[in-house]
Amino acid sequence: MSLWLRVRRTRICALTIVGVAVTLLLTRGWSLKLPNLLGGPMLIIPIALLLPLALAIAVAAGLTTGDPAVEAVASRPLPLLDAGYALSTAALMLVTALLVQRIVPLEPALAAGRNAVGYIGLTLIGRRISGAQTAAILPVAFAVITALISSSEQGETHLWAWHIATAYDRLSWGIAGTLLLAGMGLTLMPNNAAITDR
Amino acid sequence: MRRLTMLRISPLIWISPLLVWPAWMFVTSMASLQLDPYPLTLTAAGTAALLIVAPVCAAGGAWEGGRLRRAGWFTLPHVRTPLTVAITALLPTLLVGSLITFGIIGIRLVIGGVLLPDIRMIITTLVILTTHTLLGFAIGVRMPVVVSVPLVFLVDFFALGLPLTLDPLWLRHLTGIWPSCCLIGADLAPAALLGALVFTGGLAVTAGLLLHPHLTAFRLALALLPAIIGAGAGVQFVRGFGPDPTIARDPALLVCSTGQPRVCVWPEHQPRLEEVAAIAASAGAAWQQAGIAVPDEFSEGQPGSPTVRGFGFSMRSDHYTILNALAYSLLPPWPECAFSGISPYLGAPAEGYVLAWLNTIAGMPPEQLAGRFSPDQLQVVATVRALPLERQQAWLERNLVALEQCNIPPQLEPAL
Repeated sequence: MSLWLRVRRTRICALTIVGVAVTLLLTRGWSLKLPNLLGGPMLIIPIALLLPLALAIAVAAGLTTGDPAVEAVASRPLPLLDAGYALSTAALMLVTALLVQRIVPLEPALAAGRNAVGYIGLTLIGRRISGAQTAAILPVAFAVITALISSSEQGETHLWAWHIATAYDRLSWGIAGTLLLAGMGLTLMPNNAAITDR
Repeated sequence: MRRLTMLRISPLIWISPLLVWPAWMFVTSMASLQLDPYPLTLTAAGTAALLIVAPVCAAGGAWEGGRLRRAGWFTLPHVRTPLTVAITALLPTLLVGSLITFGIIGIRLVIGGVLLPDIRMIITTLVILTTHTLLGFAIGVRMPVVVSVPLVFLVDFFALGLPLTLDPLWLRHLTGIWPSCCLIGADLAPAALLGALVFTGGLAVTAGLLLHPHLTAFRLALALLPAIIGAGAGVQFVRGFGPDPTIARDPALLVCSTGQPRVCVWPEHQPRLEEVAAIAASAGAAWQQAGIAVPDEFSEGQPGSPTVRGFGFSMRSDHYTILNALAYSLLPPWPECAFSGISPYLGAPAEGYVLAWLNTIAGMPPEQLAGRFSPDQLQVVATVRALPLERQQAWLERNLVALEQCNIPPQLEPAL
């Protein structure tokens, strides 16, 4: 078990969570000015909403470091462990984000916790779709592209831009959670030929 | 490798159609609303595409670096230098990035009615694109592709986009992207250009050094040194600039009319010089008849003497907008308190009244006046116009003094 934890680079993941939390605190109020591809005024996107992508990348990297041949014949249920690893990382980031919000009242911090859940889910889905090496490209591409089309000309946030919604938007939490569950489900599915691609 | 194969396996070639629309939207959203055929402004506006194209090219570079890393190319004996190999591998990526960016710049220029771009901006754009792609490649060689591609894209996207919203304002000039530069009377400050090039050059040297096949901790520290020096030197160049790093344009470029008063415009406005000179001549005659001192010259450049008044217009300005601009140039410059806000500028309300009066004298029709001034202002001006000329001049004199000083209140209603 300890070997699996080491191979999955859990330390790097933990360090990334700390790094994201510290960056959240240091970059309060920092935001990106992006054009609205659907027309209308420029969009102001707090970078706190995009920072959890670093965690998605760390999880994607951790899931590529094993030896596929050895893992294919492992006696332990590795897909279950991998799904649990993704879930616990997301949960840990969520708790950290809650703590950050307690320390400084920072609404995007909580939204960052929510986004970590969704981004990790997207990473697991990307791992299944395009292979382990390109797993993290899906959440990054999704986050940036949907941010550019997040609002209507009237300034209403669209459903697909759940990661841009406020932390108090219940539907966005539902979508993030669903993405994580879907990603975990795909990880647990047999025939992992695609995701052991190195 | 065959050229066709190089193009076929490059991810940038495949995603390039998806990149054009966001890149164009970055340009149209961030660039200033340019109405003049000024090559610098039009080229600078087009460079906003780099905000999305450069990070994508950097990620493409990381992907190419990752291919060589997976192939173990650096551990094998090789004849060509790592830099030669890098440039060869990056050619398709650079080609796509350049085509999209320069294509967008070209469209901006054609729409603006200009054929030749500003060469300084083109060189800077090429340097930025190459450096970011090379840096992405160097990181791709050192990190697994699963990390390098998304990380390089994100970091580069933040590095180029964040300075545009951060304080100090001069920080943005290090990126070398100036979407809102420059008005027709301004030129890009050489210090800003140098700052951006020195900073980007430092990054390029660092990227080149990171390609060393045997990168020890010492060599890594050494490789980071040019980036640090470049950043330090770049900051020295750009520190102190506001949102737009500009200097006044060379007045020797002004093109002047021969009549009286003389009208001088920038070369891009030359097609309308005769028309503007005619407006200035007819307005000048009317003002002179009303006893107002008309300057010898109306110039789009910085006014150098009291007999020269500065004004501005665009190629789309109509007859009355130009007339209004000439009238505005007759007002005294704002006093210091109008900018500092330490003491109140009591004379400020007089500006609209005096301007309306000057326009009325110069023959602006009532419907045009109604679109520019409030009914209150026009009512007062009508009352003033009904007075004998000497009393109109006295009214004007009092309010011009109020406009010039900080603590003299205007006397808008004429004394009866």
